[in-house]
Amino acid sequence: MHTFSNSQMIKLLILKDWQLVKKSLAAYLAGGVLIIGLMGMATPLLFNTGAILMITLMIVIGARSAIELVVNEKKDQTLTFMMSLPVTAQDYAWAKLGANLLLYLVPWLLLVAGMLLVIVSSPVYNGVIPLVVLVSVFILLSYCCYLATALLTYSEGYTTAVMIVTNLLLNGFIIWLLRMPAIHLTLEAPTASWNSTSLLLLAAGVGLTVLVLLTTAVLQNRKTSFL
Amino acid sequence: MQQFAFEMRDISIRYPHFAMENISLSLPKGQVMGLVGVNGAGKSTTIRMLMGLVKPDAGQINVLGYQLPAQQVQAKYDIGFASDDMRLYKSQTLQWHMDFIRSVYPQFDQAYAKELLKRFELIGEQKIKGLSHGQRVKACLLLVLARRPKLLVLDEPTTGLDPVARDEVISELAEILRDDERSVLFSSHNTHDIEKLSDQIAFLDRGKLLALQDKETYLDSWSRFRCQLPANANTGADAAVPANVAGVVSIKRHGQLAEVITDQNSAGFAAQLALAGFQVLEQHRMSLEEIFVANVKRSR
Repeated sequence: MHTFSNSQMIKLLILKDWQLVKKSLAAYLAGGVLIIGLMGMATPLLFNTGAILMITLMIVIGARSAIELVVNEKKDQTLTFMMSLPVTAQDYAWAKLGANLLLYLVPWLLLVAGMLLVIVSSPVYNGVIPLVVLVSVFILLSYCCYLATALLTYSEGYTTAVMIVTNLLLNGFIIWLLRMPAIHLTLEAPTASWNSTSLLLLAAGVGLTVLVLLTTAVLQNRKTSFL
Repeated sequence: MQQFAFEMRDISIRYPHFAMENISLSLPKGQVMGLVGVNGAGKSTTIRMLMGLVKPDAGQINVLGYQLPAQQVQAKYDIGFASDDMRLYKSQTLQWHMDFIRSVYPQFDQAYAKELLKRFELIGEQKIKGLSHGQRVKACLLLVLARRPKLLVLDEPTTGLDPVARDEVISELAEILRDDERSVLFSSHNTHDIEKLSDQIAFLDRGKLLALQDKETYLDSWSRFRCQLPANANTGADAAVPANVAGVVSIKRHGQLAEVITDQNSAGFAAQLALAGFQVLEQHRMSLEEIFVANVKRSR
């Protein structure tokens, strides 16, 4: 495996990506705070509206990150500029993987933590917590899938196709979860009910996310050229 | 022992519809080499191999003492690369790019960068999306030159520029290259630019190296003769070829007149033509573009 021998350059490339997206990321997080506030109103209508907006926001942040930082680098021909720097194809790939995960995981964690904080500190039933966490993990898994596609293909078409498929699957996943007695019967419980079904689903979601990332890293490491 | 900025030995690379076989190319330190070829000749592939971006199927590449692609990271600290398809981040300013490059290359010369800003009439605070194509090319060159690389690799840097912008870029480049003792590989299908800047010429066509020579010797070795054919000459297309005259690249006949092109020009060549019954009316030195066309036609 790669030994990160060029770690200083990898850090600089990650920092460069952060500088490129920090303004839009700040705007998205500001939007996230507003949405969390909406959910905190604790009426079923506002909570549900907030939940839909939050799902949309998480998808938009992920999509923008993968497209702007990976696909557009080739499309806008800034990849040639990057190639001229003292980096190998692997260094570049590691930097892209690191930057994307960092720039998505941090907002994702903040938004999920914000939602959970609102739920536990407002009259909203804490029983929705497993549903919120499972849906959030599914969105994270979806993000990793289209990030992997973007990193391995640099193709806007393939990446968009994976985005569409994962978004369609998200709808099906939510409906599937709500039809599960182990999930929907505990939604109005006063405390979060982590039963074997929800824990299994959580473990599967996290495991698949790690698997997708590891597979991407291994495939990236095999690249011998930029082109 | 001669020191080379780069040395490619017996390089071969194959793609589904393109191949380069046994290419050997080297540039002595401090020289400017013009790499000439039509689109698809293999110029960019050659340059990408020299940058370590593409691994050849066979052969060895040494750049500034580093083996490529294995030691590409170390080599790239001393190579400055700019190409026509290189773009900067549209949403950022030129100053942001200068700061980024400075963070990567410790040798980035800020005073020289400021001088280049003035010389290229660029504004550091201007966003890249507001620059014209010519200004973008100059911005890329500024970022590369201010690092003072030992080897400068320019892949079609003037493509797509209007004549005025091209002249500005080439003139600035010529001046900069005079000031410094750096080695340069300059690829273009524009032979005027190559003729103006290069010490050495390398011709590529369809993945083959047709010629590699210093510019003056190369230009001197080609010549065009306008001749009067003997009265009894055959009128067939090939009949006018004097078999005993070595170094004839092509002959074009216009009635009793013929235009003979040679790549072995010398005082003796005109004498050989005369012996073959060709009365030399005029002799012209050929431009690099004319040589390029004649050379490519001969190889096909």
